[in-house]
Amino acid sequence: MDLECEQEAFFIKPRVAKQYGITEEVWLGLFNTEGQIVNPDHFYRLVFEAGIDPSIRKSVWKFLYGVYPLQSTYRERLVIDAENRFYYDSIKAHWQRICILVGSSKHRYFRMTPEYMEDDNIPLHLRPDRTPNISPPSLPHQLKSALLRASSVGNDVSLLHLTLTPKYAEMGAEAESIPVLEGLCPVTELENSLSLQASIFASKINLVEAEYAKVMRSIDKDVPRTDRDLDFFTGKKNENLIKVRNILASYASVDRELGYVQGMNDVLSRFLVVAEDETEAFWLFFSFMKKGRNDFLEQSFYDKVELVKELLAELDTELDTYFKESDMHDFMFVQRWLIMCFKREFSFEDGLYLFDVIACHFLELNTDEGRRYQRHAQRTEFKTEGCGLNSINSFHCEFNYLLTFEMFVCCAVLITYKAQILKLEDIAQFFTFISSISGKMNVCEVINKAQHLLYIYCKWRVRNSFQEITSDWPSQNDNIDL
Amino acid sequence: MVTIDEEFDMVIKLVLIGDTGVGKSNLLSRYTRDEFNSESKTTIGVDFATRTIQIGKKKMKTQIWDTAGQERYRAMTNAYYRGAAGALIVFDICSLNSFDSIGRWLQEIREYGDPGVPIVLVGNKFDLKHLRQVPISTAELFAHENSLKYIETSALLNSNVESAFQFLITEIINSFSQVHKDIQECTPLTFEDRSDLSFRRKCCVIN
Repeated sequence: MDLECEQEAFFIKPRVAKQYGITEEVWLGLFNTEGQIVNPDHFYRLVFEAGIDPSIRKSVWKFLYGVYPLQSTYRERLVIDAENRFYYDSIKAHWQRICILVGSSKHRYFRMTPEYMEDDNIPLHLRPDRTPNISPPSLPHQLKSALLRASSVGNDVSLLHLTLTPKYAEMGAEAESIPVLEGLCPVTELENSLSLQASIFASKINLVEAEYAKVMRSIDKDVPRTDRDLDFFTGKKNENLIKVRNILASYASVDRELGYVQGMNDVLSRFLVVAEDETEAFWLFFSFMKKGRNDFLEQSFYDKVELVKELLAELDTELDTYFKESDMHDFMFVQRWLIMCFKREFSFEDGLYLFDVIACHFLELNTDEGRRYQRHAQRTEFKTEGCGLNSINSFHCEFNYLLTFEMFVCCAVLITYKAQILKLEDIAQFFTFISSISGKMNVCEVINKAQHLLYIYCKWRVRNSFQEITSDWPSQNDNIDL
Repeated sequence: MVTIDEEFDMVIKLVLIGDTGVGKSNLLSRYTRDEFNSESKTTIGVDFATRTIQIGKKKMKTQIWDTAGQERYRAMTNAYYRGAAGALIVFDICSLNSFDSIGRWLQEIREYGDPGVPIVLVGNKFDLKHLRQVPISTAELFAHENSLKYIETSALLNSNVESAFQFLITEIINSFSQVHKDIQECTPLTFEDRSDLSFRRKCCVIN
């Protein structure tokens, strides 16, 4: 079945060029006086449709990825910030202590100063390692003063009780009673409590030496190859590389099932470039990984690839047949697209733009917007078929809600280049072609296409279910009011 | 897989395998484009490049598949061993770990690749000899015990890269020539005389 080039009215207008509609002014307008985002749907719509101004991307991302709940207040966020500082510092100090304790003479990658931060030409065992100052975690001055101000206004709820979900519970640790340390100053009280909580959490991280040595080895192989073409990471002994290492090593210590998987460095790099601050980048990455980690688990990744295949089969029979008859039925080429969210297929900035569109999960089959697409597809089909809209209620149509927008993006790329792809004779030519288009695709066109395909998918689904059952329906000619 | 097609006398598929960070992608870029990038990105999945070479009178296209070194997603990567006419197993002479993994890679290629596929063992990063952890004698002994050829390369200095691939290709041609005798009996094509190819099937595949 060929896709008809249907000029359906888009619910979301196709984009002509990248736009950054969420400016600081627009952004601040989304909050009520308490600092809560009043209309989450509007927020996600803006991210999808308008785009985030790069100057405020860091603030927006904390909400987009869930470091802050959308409903959190200014005061609550200060506590989250404090919590995040203590927890990250404790987690980092924990693995660093283990590495120092075991020693780099036993595991080469347990060094605190990795090779890429050293001068070449000195054998590793002759280089002294630098022992970091693992001082007890404390809050940056700015955050502390903000907390002090917050504790002096609105004394109805003490800062300590603003913690939304205890962090350790959020991170999958067993619940236990929070030690409350009474103090005279509410901020000191909060600091002491959080510091204790965080260190208890960290002390329970059980790192298996040999396993962790392997993790550190993989991390140290990839850190020096992380986006070195970006100014942010360029140059020898770039300090930002240490941040990448620290974050990945910390993440691997709290997510031991996953540890470190290649490609995570590339995903993290986006967060670090945007946030710059190590702790903030860690929490952005951590929050992203709550969902994103599935791509790094083999089975769930394979399942995802299967979904892309199924979707393409529905959207374009010719391409589907082409892939099935070729050596490319494993769809290996989508691995890089999905794992890095198309990072290497676009310029860094275009990649971020697409990342925002995908990350907001605004237009997916199980969102309100996606349902509008489905309803519209149903109505259009009913109208075309001349059936009564009354029957819509009894009409049941199956949509695969596991399909996400990024899968439509994968299909959009393939369908855009369909004519060329069908001419490719073998897997070698195909891979050459795929590398040749990377960096040359127009990000807006790809998004428009994906958006359109989602609508086409809905229509096909309706049409297919429709054909199966229309024979049972009486023909009616109701007035159709759309 | 050795393929004979219209444009080339032969098309051969090679695979590069070995631990992460040993320099597979740079060996590939050095061999196919004479490029080296010390900050090249991690390979995710597989990468691919070709180079056409002349051996005697024969024009040969080498298709080289570069695979990710990490253990994950191997079920997907393994598929790329199929039909390979030869493999380069690469380790880093400064990393004992990468050398210790050779056995595992060998097992993998023998399990998922075609039987008896020629393999060359490559000790890369030979420019960093002051950081060497794997003595030449150890690597040579290992290669000998497993009937592999051993060569040390430096993709950075462009040293021996050409030879490593040539080693492998020569081995492939040698083993192919033995098979080729049988092939000649059933099909009359020779490398030099290509006139009969036009009305044949496009490819003659010898596994």
